[in-house]
Amino acid sequence: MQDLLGRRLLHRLGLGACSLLLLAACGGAIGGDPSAVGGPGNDQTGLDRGDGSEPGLGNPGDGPQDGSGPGGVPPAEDIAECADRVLPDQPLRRLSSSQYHNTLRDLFGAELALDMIMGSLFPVTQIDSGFEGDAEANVVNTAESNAIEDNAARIAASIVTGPDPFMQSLCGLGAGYGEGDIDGCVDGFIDDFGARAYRRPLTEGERGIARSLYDALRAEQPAVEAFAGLVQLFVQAPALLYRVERGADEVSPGLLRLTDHEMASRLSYFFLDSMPDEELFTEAEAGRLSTPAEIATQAERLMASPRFEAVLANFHRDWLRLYELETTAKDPALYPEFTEAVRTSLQEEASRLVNHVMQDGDGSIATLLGTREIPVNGALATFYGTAGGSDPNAWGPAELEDRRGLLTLASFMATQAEADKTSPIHRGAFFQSEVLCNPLPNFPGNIDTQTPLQDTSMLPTARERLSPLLAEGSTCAGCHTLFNPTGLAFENYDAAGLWRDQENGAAIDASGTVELDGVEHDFETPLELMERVAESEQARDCYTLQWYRAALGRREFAEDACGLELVQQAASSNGGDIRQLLVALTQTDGFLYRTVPTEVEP
Amino acid sequence: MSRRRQRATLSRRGFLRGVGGIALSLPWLEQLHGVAAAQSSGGGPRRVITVAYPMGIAGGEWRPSNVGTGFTLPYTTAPLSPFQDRCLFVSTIDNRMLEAGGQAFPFGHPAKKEACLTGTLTTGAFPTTNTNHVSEVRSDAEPTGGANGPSVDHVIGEFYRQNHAFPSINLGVDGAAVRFPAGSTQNSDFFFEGRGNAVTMDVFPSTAFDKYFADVQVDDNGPSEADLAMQRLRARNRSVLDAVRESFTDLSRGLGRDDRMRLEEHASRIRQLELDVRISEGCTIPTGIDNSVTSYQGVSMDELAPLHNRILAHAMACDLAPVGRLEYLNQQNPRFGLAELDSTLDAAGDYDWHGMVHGDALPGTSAFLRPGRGAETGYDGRLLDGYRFFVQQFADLLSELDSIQEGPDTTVLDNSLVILASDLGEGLGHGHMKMGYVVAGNLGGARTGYHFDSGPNQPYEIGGGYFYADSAYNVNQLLNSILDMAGVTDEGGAPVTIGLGGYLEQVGRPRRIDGLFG
Repeated sequence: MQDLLGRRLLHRLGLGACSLLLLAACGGAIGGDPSAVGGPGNDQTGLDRGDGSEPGLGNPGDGPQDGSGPGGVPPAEDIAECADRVLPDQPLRRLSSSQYHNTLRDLFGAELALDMIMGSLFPVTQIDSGFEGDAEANVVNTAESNAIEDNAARIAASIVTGPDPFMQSLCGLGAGYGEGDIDGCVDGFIDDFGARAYRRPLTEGERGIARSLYDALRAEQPAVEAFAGLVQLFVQAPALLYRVERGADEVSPGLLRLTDHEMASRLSYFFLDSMPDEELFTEAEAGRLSTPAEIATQAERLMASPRFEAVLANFHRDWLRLYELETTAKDPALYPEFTEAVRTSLQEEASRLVNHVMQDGDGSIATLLGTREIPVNGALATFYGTAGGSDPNAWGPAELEDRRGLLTLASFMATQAEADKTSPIHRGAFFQSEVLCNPLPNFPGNIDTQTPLQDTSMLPTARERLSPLLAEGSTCAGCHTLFNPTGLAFENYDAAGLWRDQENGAAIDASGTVELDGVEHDFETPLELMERVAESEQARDCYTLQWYRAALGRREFAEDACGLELVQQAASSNGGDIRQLLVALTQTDGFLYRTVPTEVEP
Repeated sequence: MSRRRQRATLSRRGFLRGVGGIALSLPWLEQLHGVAAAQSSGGGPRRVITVAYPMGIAGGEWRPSNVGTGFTLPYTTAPLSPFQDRCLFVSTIDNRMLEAGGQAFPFGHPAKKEACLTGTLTTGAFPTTNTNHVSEVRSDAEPTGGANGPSVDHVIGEFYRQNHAFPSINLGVDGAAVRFPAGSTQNSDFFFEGRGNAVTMDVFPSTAFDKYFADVQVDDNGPSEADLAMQRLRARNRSVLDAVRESFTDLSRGLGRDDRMRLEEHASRIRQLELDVRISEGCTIPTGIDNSVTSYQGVSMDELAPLHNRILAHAMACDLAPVGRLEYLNQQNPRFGLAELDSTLDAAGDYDWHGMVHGDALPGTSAFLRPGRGAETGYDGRLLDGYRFFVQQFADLLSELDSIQEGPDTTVLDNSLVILASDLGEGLGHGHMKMGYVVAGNLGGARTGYHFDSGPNQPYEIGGGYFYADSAYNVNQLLNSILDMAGVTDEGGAPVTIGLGGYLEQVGRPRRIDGLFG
């Protein structure tokens, strides 16, 4: 069993023979005792005070009596690869644009932050793969750095222009306040507001920088303007923009536990896409964000927040690249049904389905990928040809016989197509890479992409047109044997995402073979394909991997193999329950710890 | 427009000045800053202007008739005939640096755009922390992320920079048929200020005009109330940014190398606010730019490019920056303002300029517009018109520069090093062989009125052994040569090398192309 798991995971991670050797040498563990599997175990107080014990997934006493930890994570000692504990470096993450704006909202309050957000100059995080919160998606260039500065200056200008609500909210000053009142407020403001902005108490150095700035400005400017300058500093300070994690004590050679405040930020930005809420601050102050059980408790609490819906929506939007719907257009002569109202509704479609599965359904991956119960509003009911009212704001589930879950939604099919035709190669490549996590071969480069298809370009169906790519002896076959069968399976969905039986008057043959869990399966229709995929271990594992990437803001490395295996096993034992999967994810070494940094300078 | 006075001055508000901030990955650039010899006093250029456009060249109709001097120019480069004696044509040059590490970088536009002026690979080819050396190229790289180093214009600009109002003037021409970008800026694909740090291009002539010329005023009657308020605001901004910089330094203490580098990279990009700005004697404000325009939807390139050419030429004449850049941003489906070409693009569904260059058949037909596809042996006139368009605009820019006096006997062009570059060689496929560059204006003593053929001197041939054979010189050598033309040296007076470190040594090529210097 272990060998099978190991092989499967390596395959998914796209690791070749060289990586296999690396993995064997440095396979990581998750949670659990750092010194040895089956070590002293986890304390029930939730506090580690240097007695050698350490919270972790593999420790008895962490969770249920069956030996599994929170989230149903199996004991690490059951996984051979988890004998050693290593992690890849965790890159420093800057807040994405949505995280920044959510943070402003929580920092200033919704009312004061409204204008800051509506007119924000903060650079919009742009991605074409991966997730919005990825470290690499938020590296600043000069223009973005300038925009961050300009945005901070704009916030300061709004304080200078209309200071009263800010003075009331941030300093507790009522009508008739004077300059002396503002001066008297500054120290408390720096400590209180600063601690929330930086998500931890300020250091002496940080306090000194802020106070010196105020004093320098105050020497030449009115108190309101000096105070605005102080705010201008905080909203662009690196401690706010970046999620710096210094770590606390070393729990295992090379691994650092996060401080409680750092863990509060990891939890809040993962589950709320924003700064820690009051309870997380309280728990961090009390040192109660140290053990896996405490962290799991917070994870479950945060998932009950209405704000978690947006996190779910953003994850699925980024995974399936549905942000492309913002600019997706279809040829109106070919697809008159694809109206602006439909396009707008499709932008909501996936998040509506996810919420429906999570709120009204069983919350499982299999249901998300396999259900035929799809929420529609008036525009989409007409679009899909099903019963429904005309109200664009009234969403309700409809039984759609030609749909099976998230990956057959018109929103997804339409983005994986061109303006006037489907794109089976792109659909197939995306499906293999991002839904089944099969690594794609490198594009060979400098190849002629046109000549092989010249002779078939006038044939009616995509299957016929693309057939030369699979011809025996074709240099194209190496890649297209992987892409085409699953890409062509979705040919029943036209470029707008609507069902069709024919293309150019010829019947569409969507049948094919797909390898799932190491076994080849035949299918006749995309519906049959998705039913098999929804129940497969491979799709569930891949979905888990996508969440792992989103949680850590980076791609996986060989050192993540053990943690991924544990979470994937937890997802399996929980029937693919998405909430339990996310709790399990918080219990991995990757989420709990960071590596000891290299080349530290004083 | 009320600004008509010939001489212009800067208001007391001065300018916000950006900092390139690439010293982290390229420490030698720190040495360049402040070295800035007054090149013009020694006869060399005092500024660099680079024009970049996508989709390469029609090589057979680009290359001058013979090597050396006394050549004639074929159809696509013929617009440069009036400036032929002030240009250096470098043909059939390769960019095989893209194959360093045996990666897939040869494919695709992004990596090639990034490489043709930087001489290095995309950041995805390297680990997070790297020194831009050929030994560090990864085997599992992803071809995304921007170039791993600065483009040649930026290196020159850092050397020339003194107290210019802006580090660079950056203009972009889009000209999309239907959808014009919603914002007034786009990131460059060609120009970089450092690792992964693409330059932001101003694509609306109206906003570009305001941005670069708003503070160049006809009269300067002393500070108004608004000016005083602005000065107070600037003082506050300066103090805040000083505090932000200090915060970055403070936060970086005790962090590991990778985290520290990421913070330092950001910190290096924080603006420096300057007050003292010089203004050139030859400065005039460009006319004919309507700064009230808020949308350029449906405006084709032939209308946009002249506006940007004018802004760029006057900004250079005003010495607002030591670097000027103009990029044609729309590789996919721009409209040229050329009736026959545009009507073909308009009429043929999703057929586009990109597909035409690559040799796609006209939809529903087996008609190809270029040699190397089907039975075609020649270029279709529409394709050549498209290619010629970019050269024509470049020639028009040279005319603009040459029409502005800068000193008693010289024009702005006489003091400018002007480069024309594209990402590909022959547009069929994504070939990075047999590319063509033009360098014009003040070449610091390098040959002008000259055609330098980097490959074998034989008739141009598409496909076959000639086409894929190594040329005698490659792009990295040309970029180093351009640095020499600009007179760029390090603090010790030694030549500077750009691009992927160790590459030229690995392939056994000298640092520069001596033949360009006679």
